[in-house]
Amino acid sequence: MQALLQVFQNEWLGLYRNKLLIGSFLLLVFILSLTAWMGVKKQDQLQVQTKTANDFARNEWESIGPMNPHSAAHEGTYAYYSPGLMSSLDEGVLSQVGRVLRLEGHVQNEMAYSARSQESIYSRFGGLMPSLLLQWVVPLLLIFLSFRSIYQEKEQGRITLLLSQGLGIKQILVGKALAYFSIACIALLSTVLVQFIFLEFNHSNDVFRLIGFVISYLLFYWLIVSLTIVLSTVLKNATGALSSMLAIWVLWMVLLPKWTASIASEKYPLPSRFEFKQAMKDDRSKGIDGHNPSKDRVNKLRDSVLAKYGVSSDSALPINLDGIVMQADEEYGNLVWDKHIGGVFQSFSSQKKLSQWASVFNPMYALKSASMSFAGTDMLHHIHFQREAEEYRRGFIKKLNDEHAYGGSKTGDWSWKSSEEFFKNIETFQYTTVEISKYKSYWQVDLLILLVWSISISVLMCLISKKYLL
Amino acid sequence: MTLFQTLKNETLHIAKSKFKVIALILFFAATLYSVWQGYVVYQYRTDQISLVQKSATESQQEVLGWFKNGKSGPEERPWIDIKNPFWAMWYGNHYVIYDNHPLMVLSPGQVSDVGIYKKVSVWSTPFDQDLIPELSNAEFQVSGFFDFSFVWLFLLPLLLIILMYNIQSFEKDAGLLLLIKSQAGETNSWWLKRVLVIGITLSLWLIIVMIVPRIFMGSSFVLGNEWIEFLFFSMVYLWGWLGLYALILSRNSSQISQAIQMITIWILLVLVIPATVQQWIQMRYPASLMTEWQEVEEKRDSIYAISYDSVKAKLLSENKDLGTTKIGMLDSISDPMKKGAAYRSLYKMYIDSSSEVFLQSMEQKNSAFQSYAFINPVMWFQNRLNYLSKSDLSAILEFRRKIRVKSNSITTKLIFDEWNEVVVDSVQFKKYLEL
Repeated sequence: MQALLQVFQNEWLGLYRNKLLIGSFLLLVFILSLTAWMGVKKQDQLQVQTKTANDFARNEWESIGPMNPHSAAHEGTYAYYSPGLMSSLDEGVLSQVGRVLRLEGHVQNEMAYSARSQESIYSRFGGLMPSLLLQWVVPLLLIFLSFRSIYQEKEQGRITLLLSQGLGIKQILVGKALAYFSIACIALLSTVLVQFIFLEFNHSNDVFRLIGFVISYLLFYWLIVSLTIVLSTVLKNATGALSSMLAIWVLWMVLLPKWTASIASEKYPLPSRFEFKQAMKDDRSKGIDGHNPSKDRVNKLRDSVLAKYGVSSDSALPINLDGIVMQADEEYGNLVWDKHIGGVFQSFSSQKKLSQWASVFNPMYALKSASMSFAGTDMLHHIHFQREAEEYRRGFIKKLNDEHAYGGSKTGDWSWKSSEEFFKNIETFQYTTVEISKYKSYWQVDLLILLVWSISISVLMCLISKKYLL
Repeated sequence: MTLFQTLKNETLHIAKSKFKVIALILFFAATLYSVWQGYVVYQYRTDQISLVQKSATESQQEVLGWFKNGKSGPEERPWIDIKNPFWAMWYGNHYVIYDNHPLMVLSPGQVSDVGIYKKVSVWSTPFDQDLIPELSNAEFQVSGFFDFSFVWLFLLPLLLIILMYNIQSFEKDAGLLLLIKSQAGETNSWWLKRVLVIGITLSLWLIIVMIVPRIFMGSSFVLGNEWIEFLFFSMVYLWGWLGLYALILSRNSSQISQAIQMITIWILLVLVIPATVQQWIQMRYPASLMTEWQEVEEKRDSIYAISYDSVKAKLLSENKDLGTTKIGMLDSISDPMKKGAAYRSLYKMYIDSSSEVFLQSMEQKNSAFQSYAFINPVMWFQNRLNYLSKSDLSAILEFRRKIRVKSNSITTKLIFDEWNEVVVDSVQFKKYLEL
């Protein structure tokens, strides 16, 4: 242990003497902290914007005045997606997907108005979020810091000197790796510290997310450091080690994610928008339509309602049959939506799983996936919002249809109006970020892959040490 | 040393370096693959457009069949009268299609951010909820397509680093510079020629790759002015990076130092500066949740609360010709459909002026971004290539404007025909289809 600490200290001392490296490192920590702070500010901005929009939608809903419930269902309302606190670290898919969902009768809309549809491409790799620097720049810094670490010792013949001082080869390698790893830890912790200072972590869910986020990055940084040291040990010169690590970096960061995406999209294809709409339309037309009821289905429903109330005509019913028919149509439409959008969501899920297992070859993907997952900005969190909003829409429209059916109007009376009070009493849509445990089957795979990679490279580092250094 | 000798020497040098050979082969393969990927995207869009157009034509033929057989509409919807201009227009199935430019094969840009087509009716606006893109996995979209513009703009500088980082620096590290000087006279023209050789090779490759789509697409891929412009900007981009890296070479540092300087510049220009600009603009002009637009749409109720006389007066003040229509000349009417046409037209006028304001605000945001071009040159090139392939924001806004124009022309035609009490026949219906 003492020997390990000695190597660690020596390595730090060596780094400290290199003013350029220290300057670059301090600059990076400063930029990371600044970026984290900007992420926090952006998150605040998103929260305020979403709250304003939700207040606006609620205000619009509450001010519709006395109205026919079915007209109110067409009037509808809106749900706005606000990502959780941790989105200040990694914006994930936020720019790609819409954050506005219109909730209305007869139809399930999709999220609209994505940032990307409103602006030019400013950056191909997203905004300056901490995740961008932590995923792209910090690993590069680690590569540049450590690619000569062993080669230099070999070149200057210091390995023998260190061994003669009683140090073991494994201790030299691990000690050096730990020194570079500690630099990554400082960079990561400076980012996390800013989050702790400026964000209010009131919920254990956010703390767990932050811990998961930190663990996944630490595993990846250890992997990068140890892999660079392995190459620095194995290859004949430092340029080879640097070139190889840069090639691996480009492969992991740029090429493999795109190839994986292509393969996953081909293996689990999504329907085109045209096919999707057509299939929904076909299935829906098999059922009953609230406005244009298919005679047989409506007659059956009508007969059962007439029998229930013991009357022989619609006009004799004490309730409004139209409301019941529309609710039946809604429920049928819900089944159709569940079937088709469920299929799409299933494809997303299969694509994600395939990509995750592909990260057996590309741990960078596992890191990206875990990072988005813990930040609550991956596709699964986005889908969760859509599902919650759809649940709300179903309850919302049912209330309106029930009011139409049982609120006091008679069948065929479309001019009847519900009171303003009734509309005000319909609760608003509330959304809180899902518990991180819900998607554990996904992020556990990411963490497992990162862990296996880190352990494997560490073992490799220890195994090769004697062969190449003695 | 002549340029030919340098070319020969440099080719030998690259051929002896496995790492450089592999990098070059990978890069060449990646460019070809990216063109293929672009073609897949282009072909998918073309297929979707054909499907939509076929479906619209079938629906239109069905309506023409109703006219021929004396039917008033679909049997399950007895209230529909296809001779009425409103229903005839409704069943016209008008679509606005996003211009599928052949250069998208090389640079699909932002086309995946909006829909490929939009069914347009009298109620349509450029900001409708159904104007959403094709179904896709957003996690895959985060880093964009693997298209040619990506390979050329982002991977080419990395290839250049691999090919150039040890030019002169290797000889310096190995102590061979004096030998080179004795053979070549002076080192500057020697390493500049080596850079030139790399530039010429990649320029030739660029031309070859940009002709490749012609093999898949035949004459639909026109090698015209836009193609030449695309080639020109891609070429300028290549030589820009060569120049930048040549500046680093001129400092005559060690191999590692040159590699670090080059990769730092790549990170700055490709990653950090664009990301900073994006963050800055997004914080200054946050993506809209479109509540202002929803507010505009909510005004419909207040328009429908205005008296018919006021609505008519406003319509006539905007379009005097409406006064010459049969209904326009009457002091009062009772037909709710004809009254409805007036309210609908006024609402359309109101929403149309608002939509233009929204479109202009998006353009303003885009202009703000353009003003950062001098510090964000890579993304300037990206958007320039997207502009040429009609896949940038301006093309998206153009698509939105086309929706607006088509919906307006439908509305205007409708109010004139409804107020002139036109009875639609198959000839008139075909005229509707031409709108």
